[in-house]
Amino acid sequence: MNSILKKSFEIDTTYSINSFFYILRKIPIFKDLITEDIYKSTSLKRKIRFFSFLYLLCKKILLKLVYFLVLFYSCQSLFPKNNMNSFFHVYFIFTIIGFFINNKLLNVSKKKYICLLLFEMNDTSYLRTSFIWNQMTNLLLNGLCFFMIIKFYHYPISYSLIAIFFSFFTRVIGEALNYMYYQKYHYIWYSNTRLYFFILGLLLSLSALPLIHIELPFFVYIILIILSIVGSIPSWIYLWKIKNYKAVYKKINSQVKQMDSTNEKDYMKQMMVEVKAKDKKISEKKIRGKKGYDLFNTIFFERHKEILLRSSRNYGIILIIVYIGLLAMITNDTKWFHNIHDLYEYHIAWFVFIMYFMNRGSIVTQAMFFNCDHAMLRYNFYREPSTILSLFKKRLMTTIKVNMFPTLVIAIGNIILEIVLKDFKISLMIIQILWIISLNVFFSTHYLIIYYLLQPYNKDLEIKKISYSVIVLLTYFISYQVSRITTNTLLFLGISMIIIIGYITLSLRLVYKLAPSTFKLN
Amino acid sequence: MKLEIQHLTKSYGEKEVLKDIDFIFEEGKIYGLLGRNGVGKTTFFNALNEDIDIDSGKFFLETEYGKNKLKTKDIGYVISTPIVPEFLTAKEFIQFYLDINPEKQKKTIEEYFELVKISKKDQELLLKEYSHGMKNKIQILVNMISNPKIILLDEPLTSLDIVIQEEMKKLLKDMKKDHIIILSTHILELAIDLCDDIVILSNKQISKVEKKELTTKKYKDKIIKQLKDDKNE
Repeated sequence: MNSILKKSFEIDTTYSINSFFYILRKIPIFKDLITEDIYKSTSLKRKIRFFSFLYLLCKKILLKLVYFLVLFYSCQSLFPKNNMNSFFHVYFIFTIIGFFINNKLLNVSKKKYICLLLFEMNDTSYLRTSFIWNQMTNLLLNGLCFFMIIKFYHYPISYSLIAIFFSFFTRVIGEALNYMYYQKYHYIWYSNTRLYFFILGLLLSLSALPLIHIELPFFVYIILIILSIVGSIPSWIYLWKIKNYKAVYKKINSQVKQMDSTNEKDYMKQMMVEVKAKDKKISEKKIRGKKGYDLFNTIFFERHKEILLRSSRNYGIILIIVYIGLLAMITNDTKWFHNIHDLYEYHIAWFVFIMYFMNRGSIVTQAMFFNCDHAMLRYNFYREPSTILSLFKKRLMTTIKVNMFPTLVIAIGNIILEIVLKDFKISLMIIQILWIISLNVFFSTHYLIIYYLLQPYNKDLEIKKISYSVIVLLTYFISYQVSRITTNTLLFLGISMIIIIGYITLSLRLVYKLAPSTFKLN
Repeated sequence: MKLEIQHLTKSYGEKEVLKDIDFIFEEGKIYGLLGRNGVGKTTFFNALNEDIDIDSGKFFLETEYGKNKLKTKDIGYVISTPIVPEFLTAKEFIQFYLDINPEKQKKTIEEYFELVKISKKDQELLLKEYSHGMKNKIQILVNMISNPKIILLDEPLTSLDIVIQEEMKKLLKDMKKDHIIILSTHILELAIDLCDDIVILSNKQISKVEKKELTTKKYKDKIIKQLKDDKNE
């Protein structure tokens, strides 16, 4: 067990040291000073291994703390009156979500590949060691997090201990059930996106119950911890008896093509956008009379309809539920009535962030690249400026169309709410609908434009351009900052419409000028 | 028609792969480009096809109308791992290509498929369902229709079954008239059997291996010796 842990740490630290060297060499002043030979220097690596270990440890602790504190302070701000009970409620539901989707045994990583397939470590020992290590570190980190809130916020020790151990035991059950499911059906259950979204949606809705003042009572926690302890016993036994871990991992690994420079996140992206044979059938009516690029784009959209529309449809449905919930709240609770009234009166800017969040532009561009452009950009005729621009126009319409369902739900939802709030002014309403639609056009154009100007993906859908990631991050940041603007609705709508039109005009000009040279394979 | 390469240099970071290459390829010939692993054969093709930026160098195409800078539309590039738009059926893809390039259509779509021996049933399959060899045929077919002056083939026959290999060889021999075909391969027998000239990429340079009066055996030995002399390995 010790040798496996040691080897595993060595791999982790070597990776982080090499990554550090790589980043260092990317900085112009260091590029000439540090040659490629630095990767070969084992003595140097040995010397800085301790710091690398320290860095990895701090990173793990920091990530856990960030997750925990975000959850904690979100509950503090969302439920100021009863934040303790609400926090435990949310924490327990999130732990159950983790039970379903947090899967250490079945996920793939370069480290696992090296340990199991290259170094041929004993798979049973590897599984047990890494599992125990994960469990113990999680237990310690959870202990540390709860210690903080017991110490500084005087949260009850009984609740905290239950939460810590509930997380510990549920993870054992989750790992065992997920593994069992894979053994039986030969795929990880959350590859079934319908089921995944259903369960995730249900649990997320349950975690939002404190919003309507419903929290799990203490006895439910007691029942849950007893169930988790009882359930974890057969799960431990099952996990301990696993004999064919290497074979299973090998299979998952080949599915994920891990060493082909793909990581699990990118693999999931690929799975999300990959065209399936069942999508082949297209109604004759849709393609009748079409030719060339028009036909090409129509076939692309029709064969990717399910992929492209799925997430926007899911968002649309969630939004309908949210609007119905809000409707119920404002008709029953005067506090909510005033809050929502204020939202429409002074905080309309929040819809910028909501529209940003709802926009599926990045999924559309991923599907375009993975199933189409990745191949077509190999053909010189496809790289002709006239081709790029003609297809850009058609694709812009497709992206806007993909995002139209949640857009309309928001636009219509707003009208209904404002009618109920007795804020209905027909002229303002029309401007608002146009504004919501123009936000859809804005974000759709934005995603497509940065795709055409930066083309960030490689064949595995990994993002290879830092500039793209920076712009995506900036988009999030700016959208969030804009959403916090408090001002008169009409004034805000007017100014933002001018900015949107200006941005779109400017960006389209940029695409027309630059895309023929920037839209290429990495 | 001649493809002239002048002073082509390309490095990846500190590693220089191609150094000041000057070479002329001529029409009506299939060139077999040989070289050891990692010497830069694909880089050379990518440079010609403008898929990568080069450090220096120029490419010219000399025809009966004069000598002009090489354009990407003059090149058809068949890469070793064939990549085709998998969301289309073979027929949709070829039809799309003919729709946007009507001036290039010299036969019916059926006749085109007949050239590469793809059955009616297979034409209706999504390209996603095609095997490596079948995808390769589609890549070659697109190049046959577009009829570029220069055809670059990066290990096109690797991992194809013998029947498809023979079909491909025949196709290439049929196409060589009016074209410059450069084929990179690791299979020496194939290069000697199919190609008119063997060129070697070694020591960052391209050079022709003269056959003259040599027997096949001696010619092979000469090629292998030249490959072994690569100081980069």
